[in-house]
Formats: sequence, structure tokens, C-alpha cells
Amino acid sequence: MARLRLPSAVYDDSMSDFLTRLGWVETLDQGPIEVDFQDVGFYQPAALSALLAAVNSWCRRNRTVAFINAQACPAFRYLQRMDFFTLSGIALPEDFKRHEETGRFMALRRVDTALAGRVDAVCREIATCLFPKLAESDDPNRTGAFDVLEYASSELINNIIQHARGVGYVAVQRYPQKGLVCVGIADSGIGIRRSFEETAPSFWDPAMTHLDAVRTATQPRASSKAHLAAGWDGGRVNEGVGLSMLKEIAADADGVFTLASGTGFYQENHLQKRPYPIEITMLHPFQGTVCSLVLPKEKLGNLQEILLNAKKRLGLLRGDTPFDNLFT
Amino acid sequence: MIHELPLAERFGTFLAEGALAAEFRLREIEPFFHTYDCIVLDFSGVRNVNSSFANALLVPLIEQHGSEALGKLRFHGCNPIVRVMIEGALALGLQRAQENGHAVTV
Repeated sequence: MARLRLPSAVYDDSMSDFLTRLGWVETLDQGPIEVDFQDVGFYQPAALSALLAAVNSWCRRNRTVAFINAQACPAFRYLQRMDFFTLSGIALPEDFKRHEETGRFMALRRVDTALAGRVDAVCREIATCLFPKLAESDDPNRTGAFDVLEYASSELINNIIQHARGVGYVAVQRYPQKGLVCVGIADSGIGIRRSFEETAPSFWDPAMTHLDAVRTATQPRASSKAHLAAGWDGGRVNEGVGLSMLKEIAADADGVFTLASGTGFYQENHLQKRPYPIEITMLHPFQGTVCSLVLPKEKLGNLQEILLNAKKRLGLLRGDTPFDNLFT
Repeated sequence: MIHELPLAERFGTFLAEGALAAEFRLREIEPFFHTYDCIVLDFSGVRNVNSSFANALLVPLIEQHGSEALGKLRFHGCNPIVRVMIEGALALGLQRAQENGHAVTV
């Protein structure tokens, strides 16, 4: 029996410890896993997604998972409201009335290839849930937060559909008092390093560590699939720009960008004015990939300007305007 | 001859999936590329587009057809967000074409 006592809170600062703990429990033995919720209070969306992805991964590998002290933990009703237990396959009675999600959060949502063809609708639902008043506005100077959330969610969900080969979960939450918008997504798939290994892009090196792979994935044009056949031969769907754009969007908004996979952990924390990225090789691997964005809402102005700045910084736009004559 | 392709009719107001863009390119653009003098991608009604869609739609076209693609493709009805994403995809396509040794003039 492996026993995992969950921490009381998981913030950006403690995310790597939390993911390490999820990896550590798998090293104990091959028997049942007991997850102790007794202390659980505040978990960032990415932490909830990661925990659910880990539970899914354990169950898929025929580990018996038992939740203990769940009903006694401070966050019990919140976890119920986020559909954490339902998505874990556990039906617990609810002794409260569910209020509207609108404007504050959206319950955890399963992400897998079944969403293909519906990503636009799901992301619109996510953005509308957090910013219902902005959904119908046509003024791009007002709708920045909505547009960024829709855009970011789509890139993160696409990554799972295209690369993960596993189940993922997305969670979004708005903290009006702190003025923050959080998106967290995690999957129990093959992870970034193995995705590179299997498709062998030009930058692949067998000596590449998980941390190298995570770091590489945050760079523009680092896709495991960009070098694959295109045109008549196949439908290349990825140019490896999505994560690097999200990292730049977080930087531009003075937010936090976190990406972890296997033992690799990378975080840029502009919210706390950390001058350098945090790059850690975790002691135990997280089986899959986790990405988190924490963005101050007031900094999410106009998406066009945000994208323009991000693309310029990444060298993805030419300084001149050679394409003007193509637009009518 | 002009080949007009209204994207909002097909995909709605948010163009979000590279896989759909790649399929569209393979079915609706590539087979007709040499048939038409001008291919108009009409983004009227589109509010938002992500990198995945814009790049999967355009980068391989520029990479493979180079200057001919830039001569034939036109983009209609783009709002500022859509335009940034398209310009980014065109620039990426040019980079890839040049890396592959194709001279592309804009």
C-alpha cells in the first residue's frame, strides 16, 4: 500500500514539490494507492488537473486508488463543485446547492481526442464561463481577457489532442480579489521527451533530458511534428509555436508560465518579478505533461497587440510589412 | 479565375484546430492550386484564430509553392487579430522555404 498525504495548498511556488510527490507515490510499490485529502485546502487549477491526471494514470495501469478523508477536508465542497470526484469515478452525495459557475470558474473538463472538431466550442464555453459579459462584445479593447483565455485554452487543448496520447483535464478559475485568471491543464500521456523521441525532429538528441525537452518545447518552432510530411503527402498540423506564444503572453502580462513533464520543470514567474526562469530536475517524474498560466486580468488588453508583441519577441514576424498587398 | 473560400461559414467565428486547417488545405486548396489564378481566403465574420490553425493552413503552402503562393493567395475581411496570425504564418512559411533552399520573393 502506497499512501500519499496531499499538501494543504499548491501555489506556483510549490507546484514542482507537488508534482514530485505525485511521481514519488509510484515508486513505493505496485499495490493500491491511498490518497489522503485530510489537509487539502487551496489548489491552483493546474494542481487539480495534475492530481486528476495522475489518478487517471494510476487507474489505467490497474492500480487501485482509494480516497480517504475526502469528506473531511476543507476543500471538499469545492472539489465536488469542480467535479473532481465525479471525474475520478466516485459519486459522492452533495449536501449543497450548486451555484452558477459563470464569472468565477468552470468545473474540470476531460480533454482527449474525442474533443477533436469541437475545440472552438469548448474554448468559447471556457471563456464565456469566466467572462460572460465580454462574450457578446465586439470591442477588442474590452474583450482582451476573453480573447486571451479562448486562445490559450485552444492551444493547450490542441497539444493534448495532437501529442499526449492520453487523457487530460483542464481547469480555469478567476480570482477577482487578486485580479488573476488561471488556466491549468494536465495529461497522463507520453510526455514531451518521448513525443520528441518517437518523431525524432532535427533537434532530437538521445541524451536530451526531460528538462532539456521541456525547455526546448518553450522555444518557437520546437515541435515534434513540424518536420513531418506536409502538402499532398499529409496534413502537417503543428509548427511548434503554441507554447512559446503562451510563454510570451504570460511574460507580457507579468504573469506566470509553468510547464512540466517527466522530471523536467520550467517556470517563469513575472508576477513575483523573478528575474530568471526556474528550471528544476524533479526527483520523481510526473507521468505526463502539465501547463499552467496565471495572468493578471488588467494586463490582458487587446489580443492583437498581445499577439503582435509576442510574435515580434519570438522573431515570428518580419519587421517590414511585405504582405500588405495580400490583404483586401 | 478566382477560388473564394469563406472560412466562417465552414469553421465558425473562432478558428482553433490545426488538424481542421490541414484537412481544409488538403481538400479545398491544394487540389485547385494550379487551376485558379487567385485563391481568396475570406475571413469575414472570424473573430479569433490561433497559431495552430493559421500555421497549418498557410505554412506548408508557402513552403511548397513559394512565390507562386504569395502571388495567388489573398486574405479578405481580416480583423486585426486574424491579420497578425496570418502575417506570422506567412513569415514562418517564408523562413521554411528559405531553409529548404527555395528563393521566394515577396
